[in-house]
Amino acid sequence: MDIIVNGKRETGPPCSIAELVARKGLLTDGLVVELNHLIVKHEQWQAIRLKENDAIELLSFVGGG
Amino acid sequence: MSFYAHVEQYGNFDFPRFFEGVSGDAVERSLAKDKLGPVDFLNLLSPKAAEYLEQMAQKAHRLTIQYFGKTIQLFIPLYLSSHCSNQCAYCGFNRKNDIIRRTLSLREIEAEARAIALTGMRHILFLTGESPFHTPTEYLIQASECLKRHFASVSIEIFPMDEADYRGLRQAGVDGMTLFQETYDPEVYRRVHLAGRKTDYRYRLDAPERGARAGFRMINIGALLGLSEPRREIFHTGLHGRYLENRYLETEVSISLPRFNDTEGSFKPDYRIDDKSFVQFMTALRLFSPKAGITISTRENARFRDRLLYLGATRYSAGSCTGVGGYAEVKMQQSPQFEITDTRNVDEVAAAIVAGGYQPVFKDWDAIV
Amino acid sequence: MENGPLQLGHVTFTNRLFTGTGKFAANTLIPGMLKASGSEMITVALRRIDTTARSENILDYIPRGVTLLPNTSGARNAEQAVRIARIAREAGCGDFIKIEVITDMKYLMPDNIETLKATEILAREGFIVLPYVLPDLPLAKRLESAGAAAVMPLGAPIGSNRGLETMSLIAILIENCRVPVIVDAGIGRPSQAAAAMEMGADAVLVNTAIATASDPEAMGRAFDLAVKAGRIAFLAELAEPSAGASASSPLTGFLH
Repeated sequence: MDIIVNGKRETGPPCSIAELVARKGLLTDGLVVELNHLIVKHEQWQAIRLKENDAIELLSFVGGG
Repeated sequence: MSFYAHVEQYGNFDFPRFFEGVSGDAVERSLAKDKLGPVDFLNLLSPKAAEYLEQMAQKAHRLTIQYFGKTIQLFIPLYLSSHCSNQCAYCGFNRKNDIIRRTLSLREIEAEARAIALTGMRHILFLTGESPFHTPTEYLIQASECLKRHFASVSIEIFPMDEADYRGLRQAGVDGMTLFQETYDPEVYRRVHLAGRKTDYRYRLDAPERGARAGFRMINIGALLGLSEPRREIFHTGLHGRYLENRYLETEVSISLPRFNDTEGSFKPDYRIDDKSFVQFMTALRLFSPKAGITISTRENARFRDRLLYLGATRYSAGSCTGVGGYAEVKMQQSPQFEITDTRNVDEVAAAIVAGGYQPVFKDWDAIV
Repeated sequence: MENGPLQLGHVTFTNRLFTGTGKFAANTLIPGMLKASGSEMITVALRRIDTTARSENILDYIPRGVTLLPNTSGARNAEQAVRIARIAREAGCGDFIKIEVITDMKYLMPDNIETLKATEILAREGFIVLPYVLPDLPLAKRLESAGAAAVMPLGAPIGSNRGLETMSLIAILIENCRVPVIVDAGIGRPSQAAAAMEMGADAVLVNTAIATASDPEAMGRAFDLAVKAGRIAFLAELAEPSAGASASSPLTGFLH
């Protein structure tokens, strides 16, 4: 399955958002997920399965002025 | 070289036409400037500028605080003599007036000085009419020396003198002089000064300069507002002050705005200066000459003087008596030179200044040499 | 006027120094800096996670009680700014948002027009909008009408540390804006922060100068003192004589 993660095309097995996050070894604390321009609440990561060509943004807060 | 060159220069200047042509823009431009020239000064003296009075006042207020802080220098006048050989149409001491004439003896001066010193005042201005017979130079020198023993600063407001005489007084302890030109208009001057040495316009006009050359620290000038068209008079006064400031860097220049009181004598001045105009002239002077002192005497009433604190004033007389002497023996019959309207005593004036958020300064400085 | 707190949205700030999390040598310096400066609001940015490296969560370094001010840095237009704002709110950052839309990569000047557009949208959505702009009075009035909680004019270009280059323009905003004016960008020294407060600014935002100081904690404290000093000085100057003064003509009203 092809999806776009942070603007880059990726290929991988079908999964839920939670699984994708875990696969990337990311801490969930402070992580913000946007799927096709819609923010997905933490509680729903487990339930939502990614589809072909989904664009997912994995964001977090960083230092900034 | 004399300030007369300026007076001549403006002899034929069409003031009314100029004032007519002053636009709001012109006033605003002049208001915005830091260094004002004569034309800016005229703009601010124009009838049009009256519409900008609050802005003028705000700027004058700021400039005064910037250069003078929130202080008012206090001084007290002492008339030594009401003998006078001049015939000035407007003056209480006019030789034609049938009044009580007195000249204080040195002992009396001493008594007055002691009484005045009790009020806390440390700056004294002594005045005379013009009578070389009653108050010759020697008398003036002795009076100065006497007063200098009691006061930190002694100024004179007497008839114009030669530079040598001024030097003599300087040596005797006098550090300042006040001399009003009365009117800068030679025509009007001629009309109101009917006889006596005072008829000499030029001699009087050049006297402040002679005083500066003689070493007086402070020169106070002014025109008696009402004798001639006041905007012009203030204009000339301001230019006169600037002339002195520019030429005599060691001299402080102060400007007074004496105007006729309604109650004053039988002389009816041609022009009446209302409070609004007075404030306009005062603030215009402040804007034109940010560093010049502005002296307000007890001709102005208490309520008005309290307001003038914020409008550029820097020197106030207080507890004044404009009859001869009058401090040591208050019960003595008096023939005052002009009507006082601020009749408050020194403490009351000082308290009013404090209540207004300013500091009354009794002693500004001391000569230690 | 008393030395009272600053109200932005529903939050009351007693400290008028706002800070930023950018450019610190290490995020571990941030808590100490916040404590030393007493700052009650700090900016954060939103970025894509770098999945190849272990990234920290900046929010871990910001104690409870300090208001988060996410900024929309990275946005090149109003639409992107709005998106970032919504993400930040969804992520639990609260309602504050600093709109920073920069299309000029040379000087990093804010795009006033896009910022206004973003403000109009976000204010309607209930955000507490702090727009970062080039000082421009007509624009500031429009931002006010649009519902901005404050106006944040830059003192000088970001990172230039040139102090209050735009001082006279900021002064105009202070005089004419109803909403608070918070000077952002360009403040390189505590004295500049004091100067901004003396002029009547309601608060300042300082990031680079503190974060890049050798001792950010000490510098944070210095800025705190400077901001307080400037504020007290400003209030001290406001006391003017009155007694029967009319509001519009305090000095000459008595003549009429």
